[in-house]
Amino acid sequence: MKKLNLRYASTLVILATAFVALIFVNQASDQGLETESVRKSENVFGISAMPSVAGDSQSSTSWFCPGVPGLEKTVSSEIVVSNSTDIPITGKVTFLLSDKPAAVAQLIVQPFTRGVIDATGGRKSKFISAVVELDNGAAAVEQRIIHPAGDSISLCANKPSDRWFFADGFTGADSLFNVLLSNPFPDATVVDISFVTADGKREPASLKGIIIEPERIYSLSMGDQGARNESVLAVSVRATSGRFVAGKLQHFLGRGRLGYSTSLGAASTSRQWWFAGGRKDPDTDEQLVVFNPTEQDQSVSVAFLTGVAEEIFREPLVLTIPAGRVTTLATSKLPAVTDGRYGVVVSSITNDFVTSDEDSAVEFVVVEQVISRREDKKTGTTTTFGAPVGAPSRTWTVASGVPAAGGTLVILNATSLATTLKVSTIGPAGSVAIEGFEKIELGAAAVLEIKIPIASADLPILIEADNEVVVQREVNRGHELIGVSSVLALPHRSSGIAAVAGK
Amino acid sequence: MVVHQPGAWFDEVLAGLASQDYPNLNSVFFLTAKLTSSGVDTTDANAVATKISEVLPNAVVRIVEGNPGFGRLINELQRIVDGDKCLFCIMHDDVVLQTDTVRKLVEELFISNAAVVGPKLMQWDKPTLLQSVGFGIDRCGEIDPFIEQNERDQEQHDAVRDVFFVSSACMLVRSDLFRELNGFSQDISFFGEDLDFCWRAHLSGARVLVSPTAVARHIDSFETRSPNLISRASAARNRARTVATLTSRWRLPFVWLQMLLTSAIETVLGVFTGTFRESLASFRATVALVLDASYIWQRRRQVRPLRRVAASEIAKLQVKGSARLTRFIRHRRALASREIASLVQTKKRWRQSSTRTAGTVLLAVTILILVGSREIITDSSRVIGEMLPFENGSVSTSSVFTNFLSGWWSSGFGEASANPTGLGLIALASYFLFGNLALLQTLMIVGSLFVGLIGMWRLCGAFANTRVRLGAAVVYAALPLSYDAIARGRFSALICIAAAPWLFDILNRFQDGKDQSLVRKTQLVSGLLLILGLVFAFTPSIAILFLAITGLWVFASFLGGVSATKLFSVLLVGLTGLIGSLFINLPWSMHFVSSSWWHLLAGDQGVTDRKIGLISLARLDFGNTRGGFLVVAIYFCVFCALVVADGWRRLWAIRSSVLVVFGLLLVVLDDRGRLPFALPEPAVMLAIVACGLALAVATCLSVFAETNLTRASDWRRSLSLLVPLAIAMMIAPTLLSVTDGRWNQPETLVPQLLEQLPDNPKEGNYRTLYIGERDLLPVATNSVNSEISYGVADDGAVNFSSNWAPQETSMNLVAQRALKSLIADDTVRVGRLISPLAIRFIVVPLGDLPSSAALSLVESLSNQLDLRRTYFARNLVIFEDVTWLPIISVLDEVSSVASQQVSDFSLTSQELKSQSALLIDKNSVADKKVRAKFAGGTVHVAVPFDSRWRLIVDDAQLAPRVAFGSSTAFDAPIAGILSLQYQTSPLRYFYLVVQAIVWLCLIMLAANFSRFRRRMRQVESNDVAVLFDAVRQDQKIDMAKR
Repeated sequence: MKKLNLRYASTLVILATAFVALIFVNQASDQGLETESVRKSENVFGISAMPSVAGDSQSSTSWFCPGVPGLEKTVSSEIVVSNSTDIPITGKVTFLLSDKPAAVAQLIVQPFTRGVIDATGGRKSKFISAVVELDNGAAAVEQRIIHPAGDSISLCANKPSDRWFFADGFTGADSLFNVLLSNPFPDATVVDISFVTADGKREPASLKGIIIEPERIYSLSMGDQGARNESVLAVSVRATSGRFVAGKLQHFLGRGRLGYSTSLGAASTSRQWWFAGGRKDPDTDEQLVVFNPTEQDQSVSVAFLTGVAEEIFREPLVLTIPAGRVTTLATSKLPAVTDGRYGVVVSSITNDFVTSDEDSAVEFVVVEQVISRREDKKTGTTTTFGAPVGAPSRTWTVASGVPAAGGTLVILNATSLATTLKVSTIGPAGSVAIEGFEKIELGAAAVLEIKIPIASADLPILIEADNEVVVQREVNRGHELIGVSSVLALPHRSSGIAAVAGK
Repeated sequence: MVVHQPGAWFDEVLAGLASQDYPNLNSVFFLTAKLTSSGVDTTDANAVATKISEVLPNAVVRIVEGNPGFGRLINELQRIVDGDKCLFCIMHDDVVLQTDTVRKLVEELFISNAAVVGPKLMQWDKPTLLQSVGFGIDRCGEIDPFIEQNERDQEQHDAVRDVFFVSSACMLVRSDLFRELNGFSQDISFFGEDLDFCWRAHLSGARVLVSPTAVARHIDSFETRSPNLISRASAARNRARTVATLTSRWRLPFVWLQMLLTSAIETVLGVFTGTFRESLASFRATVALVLDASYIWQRRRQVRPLRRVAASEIAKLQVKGSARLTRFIRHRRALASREIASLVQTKKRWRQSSTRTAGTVLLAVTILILVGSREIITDSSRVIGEMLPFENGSVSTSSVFTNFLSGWWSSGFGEASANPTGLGLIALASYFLFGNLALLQTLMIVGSLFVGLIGMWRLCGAFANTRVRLGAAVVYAALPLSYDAIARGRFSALICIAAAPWLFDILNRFQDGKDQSLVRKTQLVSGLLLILGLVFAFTPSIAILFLAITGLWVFASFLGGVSATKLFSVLLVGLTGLIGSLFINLPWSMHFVSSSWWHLLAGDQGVTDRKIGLISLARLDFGNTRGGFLVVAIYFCVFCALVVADGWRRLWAIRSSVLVVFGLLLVVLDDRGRLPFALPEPAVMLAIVACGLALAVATCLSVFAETNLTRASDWRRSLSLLVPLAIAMMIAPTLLSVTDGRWNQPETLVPQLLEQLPDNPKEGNYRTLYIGERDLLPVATNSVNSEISYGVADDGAVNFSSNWAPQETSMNLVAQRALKSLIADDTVRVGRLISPLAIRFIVVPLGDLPSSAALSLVESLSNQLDLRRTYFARNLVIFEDVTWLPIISVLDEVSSVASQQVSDFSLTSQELKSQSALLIDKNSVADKKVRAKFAGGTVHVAVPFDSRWRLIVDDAQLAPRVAFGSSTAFDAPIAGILSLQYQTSPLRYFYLVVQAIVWLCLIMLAANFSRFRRRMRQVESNDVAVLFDAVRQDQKIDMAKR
């Protein structure tokens, strides 16, 4: 070969450098692509499973409350809108009625206050649900029913879904179990309902193709649908067309359960479910109800988090839930679980090696916690959905506050690292740490119960932690009834989402 | 004798002349002298003159400036020789006469009473082989040489006979006739002067014959002696002009038609017979006679006094039928009687015929492209991406032209702005196709493939080897880039790929041209402007592509050692082209005068970071073609070119590798979002890589074809085997795609599904919002984020005009804000937010493999409280906004009040309502033909506000106001008959006239019409500048006194 001249050699060097750069840019970006992919899938699937506070990331939010009874004279209900910002929040509430056109009301919530409005909007209808649209992302909304059988708080959804699940239903002793389906859209939604009892899955033809009229709420008493006197009753509602919001109203009338409980359904199954409010004592009867709505058997492990490292997973409990069935785990009867507070995490171990991207195509389980407290032959029962995977967050808001008398916050550290907490109330002066709660240490996987001072009662509460936690609150059921109504607080969307959920 | 830079044989020529036994012979020599930049260089001519004087002391020698042509110099005899009682023996300087040649010619002239006599010409090296025994012609001027090529002289042609003409290599002419005919034609420099002269001799009643007993030898190697003067075109032109001038007027139209027909047929057949170039030159010359009409008329006037013989008599002298056919039959007979060796030689010639190879291969490629595009040709392109039907709904040539003239750009949300130049060009082109817009679209799609092929053929002309050009052109045509663009409906990419080689070609011609005249430079720049301007009219991203092309070309040439001056001039030309392309698209190109001008030019509105990946990009098919991985094999040629190229080819190797490597680097950087600016879509930018690959192949083929690689030790031999293999591997996937018939355009039902949307419904005209992945949207798009884009179109079927849309209107901003909120899940009332934009349907095409962003978008749309699900399928989702306002509507009282506010909250907090829709028809809002009864109120027009809108109620004209911060409203408290109009500024029409003039001027400059003007006026100088007589100054030969 002829001797290369300097110019040609330089050209070859430049070309080689460009070629190497080409390969490098391509490969370096591939790595970034993977990280991005994980982040995106977390955003898409992680948070959608549970209502949350958007924070500054959104300039407006919408809340879809599950519904309240509108004709019962002894029952009242309210929508609580918490404004933790220093500007007024305006919005409107659309009331969806059972048999009448929707009605609209305007709403203004002053800075650092709670706005409380009648959840029926003054309308008369068998059931009424509300859609609250606000011009600020930092607002939080909850629904509260004041019922003679016990007050109950439930979360409101951020968005409708095409499927909703309820793991725990109960119609024993003629207990009432109403499923409320709200359609806030301008066209009809068609849903199929199936339910699972102790005998197995049932899909009555009468529950196929149920049409929910545009901007209406539809109620369904499961007892009337052939699920009478069932101690096990899980419900699955799937839309064949459109989307909707589903909630449940339960009035327990016997067979070990008493009281009134409402809750928003689970908009998806999840690989994990976190519960902060586990408790074992002689007066408490706790159950974990695991519903497998999928077509394949699911195995789950149940771990009890007490904060003592040796005890964590000391007795890993593995349950197998057959396809389309419900398994109830009576935790109170487990000898290995020590008395006191603990957290619970239920994890699916089926498809354990499925990557996060593929989770979107996989369904897992739905888990509810049922706690009945007994005292002097009186019983108070509450049901609570856990926090699905992705929900543990560093910041949580309790929109409607925790009544000083009989109300507590239960905080579970969902990580394996110790964390520091700050609990503040949001009052006229903005966010102010509660005295004594400016800096609380919480060990890894430990649970902390906090009694809120009287001075801070009824104020929205903000919980900030260094690591991901799960916050649940237990409030007095009122009317001098025993037991508590348990409900999750609202996580903040921008404050850390750890994992991925399925549909 | 005319002497031009003679070789060693000239001594023999002079000796032949000196040995003539004809007693009364005087010699006149015209010696040509070189013209240099410093003047005339007579050094060589003087040496020749001295040599002549030594052999022929009495010879008259004239040295002339340059080489004005054989005929013109010989005509000087009339000035030098006095008296008419002599004979002129006209000769070339490569003819050796036998001792008695002149004498025998003179004897025969007197015996036969002829005016022109020619000898039997033999071949120089093989004096036993015949070269010429006179010629016949048919009516079309086709020459019949009477003898077969390399025919041995067996005295078979030794009879004296009349011929139509004899060669000017040696002809004896009566001087009186020569003067009467005014010598040879002054307009013929070379080729054909003998035919023209002899024909005129026949017309005047003189005999032309050949005297075979007079013998001369002739080299006849004009090609090697004056390569610059070789021109098939000029030979064909002279012949055609002679026929047109000398044929009788009654026969001329028929003869011309016959010439046209036969030359056209011969051109087609020439592809296979290896005579394509000759036939094409003949065809062009015949067609060009139209341009020569005035010249021919003038010449005929000059010839008229000479016409003493009836046309029928002349016709009898001509060969009956076709001289070419006669020649062919003679040739076939000769072949049959020849020996095997001759056949072997013929086969060799056959194989060596590059035009034949090129013709056959190009024909095969053409057939493959046509077969591969058969369903597009017969059934139009499927409606995919930018390939929207040209003929759809109410679109017609006149409506397109009307829209083009309007001052309101009605696509998208509309804008008070000039319409795209592309609209005007389409309207103009469709006029030429009798209004067949569908045919125009098919021609543009399929034609682009051929344009790219021809462009690469031209670009590789720099290699001066037909096979190299062929290889590169075929490779460029076979790369999957264009076919993938068709498959994905990327029309803008398709025309950029077609234009890229032409742009490179012009840069190369400008850079490599030596001593180019200003006219040539102007022609090149005008051509560049026209190509850029034309493509820019359809896809502005060509500007960025050309910027990259110029930059990389200059960079590569710099690395290759091209001088800085040349590179600077290329840069200058590139810049001129860029600015010029914007200029000739004025006033539309004012659209790009904006803060986001780059994004508007890029055409993707900032969509980068596509994450396609290097492998898919390098395949040039984005991973869509079956077996597309084989295409990567062609990159071997880039490496190979760098390794094997030397000399001037090394520059091309560097250019090709820079284009490929840096082109890919640019695309990958954009693909990974690593550039601070957006580039046009990858298919556009990859045109650079495709050109680089084709040039690499050309470089390799050039090396292997023109370098002696016969030595077994030459390491390049092994590489020369791998290059064809790489080419074959690259071509294979495209060959497979031919079977599809429409280059794998997907079966899509989306357009049919969209037909379910109502046209001009009684509820009012509306718009459809298309949103999703950019490539799937059938309209001009704006990006919402890096993955999601949107575009809007009026109700009715989408058509090509939707490919252009204003992108920065106030209504676009409203839409953009609403859609960003939608994607961020920031609102559940996007329906209300876009309500004043008259968007009724939201269409989300999902394609076969929807991205997570698209699915997430559908999720967000599904959560919107004002959207009704109209259609849900795997590949398409349609929502209807229940809160939409018609494009022209009367607002109710509450909405009218709301229209005076600018706030998203005011829009979301209450539903806008219209009392009724107005002016419903199929036309765009600026071109409403209908009128409507109106009871008064606020009329809302969903177009961006402009003060030239007028609402006319009876005779009252109402001025508009801004509504909802972006659209237009008229507060009209009066009832009556209502109409709406947009008042186009008269300046708009003025600008269009100026634009048309500019385009026309550019076309004239690029086509270099001056050459036609020269043809028509015959402005070539006829003067012969004699410098001096080297031996005897001003000597004349006085034959009268002898």
